[in-house]
Amino acid sequence: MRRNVLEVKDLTRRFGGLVAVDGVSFQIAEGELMGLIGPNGAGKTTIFNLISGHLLPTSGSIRFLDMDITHLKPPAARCLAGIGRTFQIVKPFGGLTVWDNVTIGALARHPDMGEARERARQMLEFVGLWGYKEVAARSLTLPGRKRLEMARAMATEPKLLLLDEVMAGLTPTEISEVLPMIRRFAEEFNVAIIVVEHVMAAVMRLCEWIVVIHHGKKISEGTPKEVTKDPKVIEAYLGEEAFIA
Amino acid sequence: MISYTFIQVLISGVLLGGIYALISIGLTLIFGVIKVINFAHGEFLMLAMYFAYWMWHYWGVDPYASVIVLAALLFLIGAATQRGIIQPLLRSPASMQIFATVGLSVTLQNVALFLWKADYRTIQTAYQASKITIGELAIGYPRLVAFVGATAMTIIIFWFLKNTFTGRAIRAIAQDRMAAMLVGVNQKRMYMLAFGLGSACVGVAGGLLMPIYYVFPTVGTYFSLTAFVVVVLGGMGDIRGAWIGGIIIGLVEAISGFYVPALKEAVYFAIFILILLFRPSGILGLGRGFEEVAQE
Amino acid sequence: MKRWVWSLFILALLSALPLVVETQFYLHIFILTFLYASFANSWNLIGGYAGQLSLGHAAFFGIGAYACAIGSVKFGISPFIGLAIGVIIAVLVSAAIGYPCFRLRGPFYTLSTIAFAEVVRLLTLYWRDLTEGAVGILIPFKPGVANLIFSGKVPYYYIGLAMMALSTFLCYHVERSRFGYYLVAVREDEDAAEACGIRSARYKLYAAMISAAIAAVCGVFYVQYMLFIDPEGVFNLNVSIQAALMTIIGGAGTWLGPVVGAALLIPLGEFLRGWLGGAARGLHMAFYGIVLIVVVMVIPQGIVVTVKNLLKTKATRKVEEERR
Repeated sequence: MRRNVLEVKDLTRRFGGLVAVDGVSFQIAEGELMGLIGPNGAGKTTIFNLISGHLLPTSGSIRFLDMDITHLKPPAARCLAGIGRTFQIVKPFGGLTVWDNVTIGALARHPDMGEARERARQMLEFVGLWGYKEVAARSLTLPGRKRLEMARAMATEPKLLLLDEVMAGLTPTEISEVLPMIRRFAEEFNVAIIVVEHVMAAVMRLCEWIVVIHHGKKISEGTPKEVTKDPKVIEAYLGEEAFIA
Repeated sequence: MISYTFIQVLISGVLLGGIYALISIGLTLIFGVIKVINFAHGEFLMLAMYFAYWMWHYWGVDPYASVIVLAALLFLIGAATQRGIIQPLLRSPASMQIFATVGLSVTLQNVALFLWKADYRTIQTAYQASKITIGELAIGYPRLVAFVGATAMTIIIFWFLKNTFTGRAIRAIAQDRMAAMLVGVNQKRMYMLAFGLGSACVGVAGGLLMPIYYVFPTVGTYFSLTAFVVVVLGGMGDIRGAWIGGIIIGLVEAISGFYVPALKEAVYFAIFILILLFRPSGILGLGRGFEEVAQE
Repeated sequence: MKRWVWSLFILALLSALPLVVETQFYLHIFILTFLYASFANSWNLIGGYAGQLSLGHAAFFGIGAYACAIGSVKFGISPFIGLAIGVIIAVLVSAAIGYPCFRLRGPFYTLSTIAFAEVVRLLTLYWRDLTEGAVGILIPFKPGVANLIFSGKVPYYYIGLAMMALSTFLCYHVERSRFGYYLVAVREDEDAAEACGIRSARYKLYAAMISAAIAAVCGVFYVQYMLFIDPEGVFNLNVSIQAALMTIIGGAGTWLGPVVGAALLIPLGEFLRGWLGGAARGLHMAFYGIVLIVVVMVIPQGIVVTVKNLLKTKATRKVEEERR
């Protein structure tokens, strides 16, 4: 039996009159790969922000490794507790080199500069960016920056990793390189990973479990097969894009 | 219980607050649209006051009559600043924009010092000492004009932003630069317009202030510091908030000036820090410039 | 290794200089350069590495200077204790300003510091019993190590040099440490820094406090060297701006930047002032203002980084040519 890493219960977040996330509950276990999908503006990124502490919920609770982190502040405290994340709109430390970027992530676990740099090197090799180590982060291409974000988040040695659209804007070839990387990371380090993704085919191939969000509410949950057959999911996506193939 | 003196103090506070409000609205408009704090805003006011002074000195133009010319002049200076200095720096870090306007402020202040010396200059008008008396209350005519003029300019700005197509385009680009550009709002022109309008506010303020104040090269420092407090109090980028904030600070100044004259700036600063601690989004809670508060 | 050799070489050269140079005016310029380089180093910690622009660093400088002057003149306290008191007050005050601002995004710290410096200036003018107001405080000339006052410029020269060397070494060390990496991460992107486990508000506060401490030490040196202090001299906005200007010209967020900036601007400013004379009051500050705008628009990274990049591209070009 795998132990639960994250338990989200009745999570709700309002922005003024708008309810961006409305009573969402789900859980994820160690080493598990979960997809969080839904049409544009469904509230997926808001859920990530609530889990990573970049936003605080209006109501509901978040448990992480048997710890109530619903109101744990600031976001840094959650990173140190073991939650890593990437950003949908990538946020590299633009002026720094690729290696420095990842070193900063690694410093969260390895206060010693030398150890942190070594750890960063491993992560850069893992995502295939080692060759670009001295390049300024801002001059990387978009796929490069997305990998950099992943490497930096992985370097914080999370127990739970939140990947926000790390495959958006990538070519099919690039996606087929990234997929095994994510899977390997989950397996080797026994990390629970939640991916928010628009590239449906990739999510279906990657994840064991899918949670579907629509208008802030969870409308369906299950294995990829179950979810794609759910009439509610099909309805939610109808008229948006017909990409559930 | 409330004495006439105290009511007198309150009235002069509100009248003064009108001018603060106008200056601050200019600053907050620029920040709200372009997300830049113009640290040379006070120096623009100083320029406007000198222009008013020289027009009176050489041609005998009444400062109230020069207000429209001053507004136009300062509009041009503001628009030119946006086009020449801020526009090329839009993609740079915010710190670079701050430094550019700080550099402008230092330059203008010291050029004024070089050209016009550190002397305090005032103008004399026939109406300078005239008063309107209601019972035991006396209101100085120039102060009343300053308040009415400032309020009129404020209303014009409001009306413009709310009811004209261009005004709405400015508000749209203030809310979302990318989205507004996608629907065809001309970003460069709107930014120049916003910077120009914000600067025109101090043009008007300069003309209105000249009969009740004196001008010297560092006069802008005092008014811009007051404007910073007002803008933060009103909520960064919030025009209505800035107006209310201006009146409040006018009142605070009048009252603290009455009881502890030498410490009124310290009172401002205390207010400033208290707002940051307890209500950083300003009185109406509509301020911008900070996203979600990440605190420990 | 090479960097060490060079630094030691320059340090040795500077140490030997007073043996050769005897013109008081030149020594004075060197002393001012050392002082302002140290002051700019202090600004660099918070403004350069952490990216939090202070436009009121004169306040911390002045607090140190006044604490020391008031202590020795009014209460007969040793300037060393005055120094300690000044540093403590500056650190506490900078924490009090930083705390509300650093939790927020946006230009609040800049606004707070500029406003604070003005308030301190006015309080100093107002609090005449303690500060002598606009008249300023004159320190009686009683040379002696215990009084931290010396006859002749050479001792000040060496103390100034040591101050600059130490503060520069501190910045050099910070740049390579976890602390420095954290500051730079916060400057580049606060959300991403938090996601890397960096408590951004806390680190900004630490940087502001260390910076204020160094600024206060500089203030003490200033008053012990000038033996006179008045509010216009230390709390002027121009003082704050000079610290920022030197750092930016040299290169904000680089350990060498402030020193390069001070070494360029201070001699230039002094010669300009001498050359333009009293008739052209304001002109040399106006010149600084224009320089600031130009640097921000043309070489925003500062001289150090720009030159480094030029050398690098030259080197790579050379390599490429050899390949052909």
